[in-house]
Amino acid sequence: MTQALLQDRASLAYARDLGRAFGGALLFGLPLLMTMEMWNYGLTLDGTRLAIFLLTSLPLLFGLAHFAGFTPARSVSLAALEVFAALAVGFVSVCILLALLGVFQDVASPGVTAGQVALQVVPAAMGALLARRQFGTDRTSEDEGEARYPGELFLMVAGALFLALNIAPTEEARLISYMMGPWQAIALMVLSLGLMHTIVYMAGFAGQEEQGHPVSAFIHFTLAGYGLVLLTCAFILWLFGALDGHSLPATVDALIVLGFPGAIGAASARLLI
Amino acid sequence: MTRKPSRPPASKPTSTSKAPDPPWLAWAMGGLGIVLVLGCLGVILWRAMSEVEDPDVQLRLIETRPSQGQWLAEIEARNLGGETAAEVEIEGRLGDETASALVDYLPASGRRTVILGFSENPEGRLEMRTRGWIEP
Repeated sequence: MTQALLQDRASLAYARDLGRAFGGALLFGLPLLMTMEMWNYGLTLDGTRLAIFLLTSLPLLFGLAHFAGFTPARSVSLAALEVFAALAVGFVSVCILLALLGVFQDVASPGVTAGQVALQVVPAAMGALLARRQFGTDRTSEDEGEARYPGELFLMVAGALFLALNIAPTEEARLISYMMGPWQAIALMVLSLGLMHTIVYMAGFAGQEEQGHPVSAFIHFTLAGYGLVLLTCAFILWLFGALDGHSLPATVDALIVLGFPGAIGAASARLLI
Repeated sequence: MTRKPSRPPASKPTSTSKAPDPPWLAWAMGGLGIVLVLGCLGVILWRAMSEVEDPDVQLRLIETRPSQGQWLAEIEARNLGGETAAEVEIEGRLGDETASALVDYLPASGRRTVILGFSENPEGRLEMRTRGWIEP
């Protein structure tokens, strides 16, 4: 009798977490779901790149489930289970929204539809996993302190992806890099690093207490983080084919432009995730 | 002799709560960041120092192939200049027949592939030119 009651209570709690997960999927997925370029990438994206993106997103989602899952899971198998639940939540919300928005209507082949959905499922699943942090009230301080140095770096990559993925598919991201001159590019890079360092300190990264010396904190967190941000941006731009046919200087410009939101996202990962 | 800043003793107060992270990883990742930042800076400065030229669009016929009742000419458009060209209109002429395509962006030192359709095989007889572009 009491066991049945407890089970009911547990499923009720899980249903509430699931509801939050849908909210998170929408919150994070909506900007991309309502971006025209993202629908077109379903038509134009290289299948191999899409497959690589989906495969690399699995460990990323797993890491997110470990650090900030929508249920307080701390074991490996539970985190894996959460990843698949989040993917299911993402898949359902993306399909419903894209159908509702009329994106599917002119589409000819099922392959195109699959591409459109697959590309959107990953950000939506990220949102589902982050839901507990976005909507939940049960933030515990032990979660915050748990991440060690590799974990901090991972969170920075996730944060960079969080913002950069929203901006990368738009035409503006390309246009800005073509409009900028060399001095503007350098200034944007300096601004990215400066803001990143400031936010990292204000958001109270572990660096603050462990790396007492500001110079070593700058090298270990800000520079290391910015390097990872640039690599993350290179991966996203490569995925969208935005680096194809670009020379090295044009590639560097594109990286710095996308690296700006990436750096902000990475530095505020502690606030977002 | 002044006291040299030596390695901190093992009982460092800040690292009592957790085992210390491997410092080599922090330095390696920091080093990676420095290399990438300096690399980007170097590329930008190198481009800033070199003379920036206007877009210089060069067209080259790669191949022709029949496709669904017409002939397609695959053309490589390269921008040898130092500025990006936007909305580059590329025209191919085969006798009286003309075909054109619009390239949204042709980045500096970059390349794009353009396909033009004709009723006959344009191999060897195709005249190509760039009609114009916009500075982004």
